[in-house]
Amino acid sequence: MNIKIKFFGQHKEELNKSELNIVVDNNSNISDLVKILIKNEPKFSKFKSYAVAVNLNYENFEYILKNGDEVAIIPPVSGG
Amino acid sequence: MIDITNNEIVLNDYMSFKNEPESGSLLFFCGTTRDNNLDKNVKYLEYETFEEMALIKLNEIRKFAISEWNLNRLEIIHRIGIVDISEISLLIIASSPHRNESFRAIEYVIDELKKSVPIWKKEFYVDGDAWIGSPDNPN
Repeated sequence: MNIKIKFFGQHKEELNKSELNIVVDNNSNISDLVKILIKNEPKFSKFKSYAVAVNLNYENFEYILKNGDEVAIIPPVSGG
Repeated sequence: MIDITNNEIVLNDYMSFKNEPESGSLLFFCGTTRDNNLDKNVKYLEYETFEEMALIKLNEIRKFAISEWNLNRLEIIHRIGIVDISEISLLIIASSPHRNESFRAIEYVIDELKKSVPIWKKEFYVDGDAWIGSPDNPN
């Protein structure tokens, strides 16, 4: 399945990219995706504190991905 | 109204109107950019957002607050991009029959915004910069 990952803030800056396309197996969840992400982008392993949104909704790491999902990695927010 | 804007937020632009006839309270809250944080001198800030999702989250917050505190009006305007010191980064306007509802609603909006709305700020110092909220620079 093809998954698009979006990066923001410090993640985007440190990885020097705002998007990444990753292929995962069927029935993969967010935790599986993160493992593949770290293989592709080892620098991401330093980040421990972030949330994940799938198709604009916050989801937990057990969320089962579907082909074409857009996964946003959300660093700690700090608006205001 | 919900707005995320690159433009300077000019308070006067929002003050040239009368309050809702059913209201007896009209509150404006301005979040402004400070020149100091964690013992560092801040030169300016830069805000970034995941706008598509931020608008959804702000609308959820607004809808809940209007219903919870019986507001006649609630506007949330957040600036993004580079913001100089002392400028307005966040404007919240609440109108309600009595003052308590407006005060409580505004506090709720700010608290929720800081918890769940994908907006990030970066502070720029004389000797570097830091993303606020990151584990390297907790705030």
